[in-house]
Amino acid sequence: MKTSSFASSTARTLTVFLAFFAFGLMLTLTSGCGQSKPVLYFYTWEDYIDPLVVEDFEKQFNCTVHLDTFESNEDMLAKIRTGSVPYDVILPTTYTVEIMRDEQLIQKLDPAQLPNVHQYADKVLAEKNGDANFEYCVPYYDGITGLGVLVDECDPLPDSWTVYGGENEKYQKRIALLDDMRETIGAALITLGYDINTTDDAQLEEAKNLVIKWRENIAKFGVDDIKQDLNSGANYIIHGYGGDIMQMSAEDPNIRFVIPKEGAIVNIDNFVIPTNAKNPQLAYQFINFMCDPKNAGRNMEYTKFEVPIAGAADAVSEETRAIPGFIVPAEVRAKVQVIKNLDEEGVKKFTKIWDEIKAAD
Amino acid sequence: MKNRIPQITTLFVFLFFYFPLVWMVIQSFLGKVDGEYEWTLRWYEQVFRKREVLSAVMNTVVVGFFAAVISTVLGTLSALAIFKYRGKIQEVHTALLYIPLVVPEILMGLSLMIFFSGLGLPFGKGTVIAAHVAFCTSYVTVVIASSLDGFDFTLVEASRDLGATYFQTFRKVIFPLLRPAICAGALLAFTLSLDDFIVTFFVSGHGGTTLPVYIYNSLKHGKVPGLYALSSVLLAVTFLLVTVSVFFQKNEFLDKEK
Repeated sequence: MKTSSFASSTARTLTVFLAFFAFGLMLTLTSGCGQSKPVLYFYTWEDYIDPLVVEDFEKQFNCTVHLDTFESNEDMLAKIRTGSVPYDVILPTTYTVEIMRDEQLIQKLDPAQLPNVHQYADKVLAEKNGDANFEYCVPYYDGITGLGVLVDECDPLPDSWTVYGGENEKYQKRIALLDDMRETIGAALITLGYDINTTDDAQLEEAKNLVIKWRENIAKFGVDDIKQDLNSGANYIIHGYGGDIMQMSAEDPNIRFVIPKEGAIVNIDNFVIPTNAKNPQLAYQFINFMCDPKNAGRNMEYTKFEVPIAGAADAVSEETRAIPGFIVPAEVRAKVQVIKNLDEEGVKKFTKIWDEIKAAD
Repeated sequence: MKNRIPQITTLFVFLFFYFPLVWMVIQSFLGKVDGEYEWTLRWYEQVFRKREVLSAVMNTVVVGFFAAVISTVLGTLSALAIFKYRGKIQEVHTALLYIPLVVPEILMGLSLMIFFSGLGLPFGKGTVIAAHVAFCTSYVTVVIASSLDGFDFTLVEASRDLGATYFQTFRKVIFPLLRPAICAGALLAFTLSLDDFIVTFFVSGHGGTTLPVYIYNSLKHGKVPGLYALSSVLLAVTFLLVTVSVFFQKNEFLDKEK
């Protein structure tokens, strides 16, 4: 009796095991098919490109785009430095492009392969970006960091960084700053009328004291949590990335994006081709395809971030163009500043004052 | 007079444990229409229409499956070895097995990353599975070893005396007796693999992005409610697995008593 029950239970386990194994094998096989087409490995930010544009590219060039995402430039850099993960196209922010260029992680771009870039890309922004001739990178998304405000709680609408100064009692502990060293110290430097890439001790000291003063009036430093707090009405004013706030205002007209009058920081994410790219040919085709004004416009529509390609904004729907802050006036655009990579000494200074700000009570 | 402190403490502990999770699940069903909140499934729809999410789900399942199978086989064998051959070498073996349980995960992730890149292996599913096997094996061994503590080895000797080969003894005596522990170990390994973030983060590359890594990578620009939706699904699957494993083990014990 016992033996038979043992035998049957063994058989049952073996069946279950085999069924599982077959299931796993099936999964592996199905995920492995379709690999005969050329594959473009694209390393980018989440939700940062219109999937339909990617599909069009796949159809037109008969390839597959494999998309991986990173959470920060630093995470991406750590992965790329191992040399074990060859990507064909990456989309890092300007200061990281500079690091990658200096460490020879990215290749020099061949202008002949990027006709759309040379025809349509914004040369003025490229110059601010530090690579006027698209030698190593192609600026693609530019997002201004500004204020996200609740219209019905803020009358008049704040238009200046001084809103963090605490003059309006109503905003006490109902406003928030980005938990980002360069952005927040940068906002203080702009308010004081300085360059955001300064390493002058006196200017940095002044900026530090200003942020410490702001700190007394804010609810907290945050990134995603403060977006949520704006959405729920817990905060009236937050410091945030333009695209993120405009995505929220597309759903809730009470949320509005405001660029402070003193100026603001613009973050530019750029296409680069890594040195160890497996398929640079396809990478060039991809970048060129994305810089076609029509495709650039679709990505602009999808992300609500501006794409500095001539004619792209014309391809955007009326509805999106009507979002306040979406079309940046030329005089505001002239005042934006780009975060540059600092030398070791500069990084130390910034880190030191940021630590002091965070530790201040 | 009844003392209410234990009850109140328990209540607070449960609130502390479960309120954030419940809150997240609720948020995943809330959306704004013209500034007003209403119940909606749109975050789930949006998230599961994305190709990257589907491939992350697929990667998680494939990695979890292979990590569980391989580490269960290795873990069972090493637990048996520890119990069968007692001696200096097995003492060292035991000590070595405990190390992955106590080494900080970040060290393990970093060292595996350096190791794999030193070997020139391309990062992807393979490296993630290998890394998961590296830590899951220890957990499986511990689970099986604890059930071997009460194991009656005379049954093995009896089987051998009666003429069974070693393989027959394993198949007909050892394996059925260890089955609950092996199943528990395998499910534990699968759950650990499913939930692991730190080690996976370091060694993933093309096609190795699992759900936790995907969720983390989406934090900067992704839509927050979409992440809540994804996390809620991960939570539901984890609970389901644990329930199944408990159910499974109960049934096993019933079988044994018959």
